[in-house]
Amino acid sequence: MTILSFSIVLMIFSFLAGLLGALTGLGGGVIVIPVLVLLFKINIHYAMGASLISVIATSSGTSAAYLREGYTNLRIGMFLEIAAVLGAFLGASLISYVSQSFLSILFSFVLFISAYLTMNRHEETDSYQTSHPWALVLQLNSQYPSKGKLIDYNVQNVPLAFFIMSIAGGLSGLLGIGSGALKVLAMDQALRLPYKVATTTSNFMIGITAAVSAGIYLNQGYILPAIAFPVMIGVTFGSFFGAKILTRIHNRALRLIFSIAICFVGFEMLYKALTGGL
Amino acid sequence: MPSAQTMQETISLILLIGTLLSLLLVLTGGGIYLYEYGGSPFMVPLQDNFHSMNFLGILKSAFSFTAFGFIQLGVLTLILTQVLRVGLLVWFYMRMQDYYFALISLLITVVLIISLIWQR
Repeated sequence: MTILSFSIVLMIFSFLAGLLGALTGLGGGVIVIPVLVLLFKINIHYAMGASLISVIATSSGTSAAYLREGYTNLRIGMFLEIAAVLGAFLGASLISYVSQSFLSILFSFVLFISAYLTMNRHEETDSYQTSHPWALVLQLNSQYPSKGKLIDYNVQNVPLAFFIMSIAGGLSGLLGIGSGALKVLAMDQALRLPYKVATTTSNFMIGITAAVSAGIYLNQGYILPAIAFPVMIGVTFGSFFGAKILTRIHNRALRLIFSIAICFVGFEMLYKALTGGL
Repeated sequence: MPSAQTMQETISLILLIGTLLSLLLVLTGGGIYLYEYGGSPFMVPLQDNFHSMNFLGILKSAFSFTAFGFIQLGVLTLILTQVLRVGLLVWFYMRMQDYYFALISLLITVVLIISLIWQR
């Protein structure tokens, strides 16, 4: 295979990964890493490095749009980001000490959890009249636009969300992903934020968390230009395209197919890691 | 004193410019790379040939204006955009006399900078 054909094929697969990631709300990382590792036999460290770059590009591009719409809660994002960046720093510092098969096994479990979370998300909003004391001190309660007016929301379990964020950060550093599914879980289930606020705030945070991991990966030589460029271009364009067509397709059926697919990929990675095939 | 909306719009603009600039640099580097080496056989980098680099080394190679230099510069632009957006929040929160959040933003900026220059 020539460099040209490799780059084009990789770009096409990354485009599809970005597209599916945007449609299902998972982000491109969880798809692009197995593609690189299983299909192209690329070292998982390089796959994670390339994935991180595409995660930052996608998150930054979409955050720019979401920030204008007024859903993103910057205060919640920044407060929880403390836990996420510290987790990411620790996670990324550990990657050269842990084996590739350990990373693959951990990755396959993240795929299973992501599949479960993708199927079990509730998008209806419960309204709470009281808030957690931390939310009051930090002034985290806010409003979001819905049907032309602003609706107030009260923030719930802040310490639990903070704890989940540190794990999300650690996984982001260790596996080169955005950990969007776990971030949304923290804000949706622990803080009880309206779904759109949770997803846009998570998206705002992902770029910062991933940048901490990327800095460390870059210093360790895990971001290879030859692999990073087709992945970054493919995933970024794929996710923008996916975000554009998002409203026009039936999301639930897609999520089901997607969950089954990533479970399958998870088993494949687990099997390869356990039998020494990676 | 700046309003929360000015803050959001400024950060949004920084993100947009940084991402587009970075994509442009990576596309340029990728284009040159494929033009120069597209016909050569691709070798999968199987071995984990660990090569620790320092920030200055990365910066030097990024400004070498070679194919990989442009891609490297694009990657750096993307990461520095994140440093800039968090750094700007420190400034905004200071101006808004919200010292809790200025401190939180400062802490995150510091972690970001350390991760970029930190050597094992």
